Amino acid sequence: MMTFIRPRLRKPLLGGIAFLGIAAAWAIGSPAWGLAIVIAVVAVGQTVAWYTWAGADTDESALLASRADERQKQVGLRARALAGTVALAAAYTGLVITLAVKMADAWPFAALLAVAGFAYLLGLSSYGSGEPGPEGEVTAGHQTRSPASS
Amino acid sequence: MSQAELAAALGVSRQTIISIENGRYLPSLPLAFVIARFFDLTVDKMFDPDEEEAGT
Amino acid sequence: MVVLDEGRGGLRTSDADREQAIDVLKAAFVRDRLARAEFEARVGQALASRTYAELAAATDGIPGRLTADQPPGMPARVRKQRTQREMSQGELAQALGVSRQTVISIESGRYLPSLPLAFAIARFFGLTVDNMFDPDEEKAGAR
Repeated sequence: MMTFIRPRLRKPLLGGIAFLGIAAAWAIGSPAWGLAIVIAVVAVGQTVAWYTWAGADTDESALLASRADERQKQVGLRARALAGTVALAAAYTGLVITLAVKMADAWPFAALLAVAGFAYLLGLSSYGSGEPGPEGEVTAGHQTRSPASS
Repeated sequence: MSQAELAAALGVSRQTIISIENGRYLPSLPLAFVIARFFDLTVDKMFDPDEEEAGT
Repeated sequence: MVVLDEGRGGLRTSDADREQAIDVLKAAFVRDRLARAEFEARVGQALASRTYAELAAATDGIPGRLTADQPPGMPARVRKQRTQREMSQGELAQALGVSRQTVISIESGRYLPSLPLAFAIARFFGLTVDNMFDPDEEKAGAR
């Protein structure tokens, strides 16, 4: 599906759809559904803005425009790793605070922590060397694709 | 040859050429071979870590 | 011909398709099957390609099975050098200052070593990087 959309439009479009999802959820769940229209307008604006930004000659724009070369993909990968670490830390902090203060539900933070933590373990096993196996065993050789996709 | 022209020839971004020239990025093995071949050098000559003047 | 069947000629190419085509061009260039000027021209053509037909034109005449991802014979070459010296993967790992899993990953083709590690491996076996890791198998070992 994605291959039919031009690379520069992919991520901006995904962002726009994400915003529309928020708008739809808001319209369904909230009595003040007028705000959903505002969010929908933001979605369109965001798509246009990101698409424009994707034309610049920088690392960030290359990643946004899905035209990153090997080094830029590495930059994106490290940024995403940082985001993952921070998200885990934030989820943990939220969990601890809400449990202690009882000011809000703690379960969303617990769920985030569990899902993110599980994803990390999944990543380790997927991208690692796998079963070492006995000495000299010829394991099926294929170049593992880097997770650093643009 | 400008950095932009070299980048286009090698199929990488201009920033990556700059990063390689500044020693801030070490290209992958396949890219190293392409770069070396492009300048009619061996990878050994071009990227030797022991030589101070290694690289472009 | 790389990748593409005739029927998709008018459809738009993805970033991944262009990358793959450029990888094939790089591989051909590294194997001396493309002169530098032609390589540059074709890469430009590939980058500008919007349809599969345009991309096919850029890689016209280049065998599609070549890939710059990994020298196909490289993992086997590392293994051969190691076993010729009757070393275990663990011993080679220790000599190189990496983990045993990394040596395993290199020999199984799962991991392409970084440039510094490639130099360490080549030096350890008394070879040049070009000799050890040349994508053109016929050339490797012949220099």
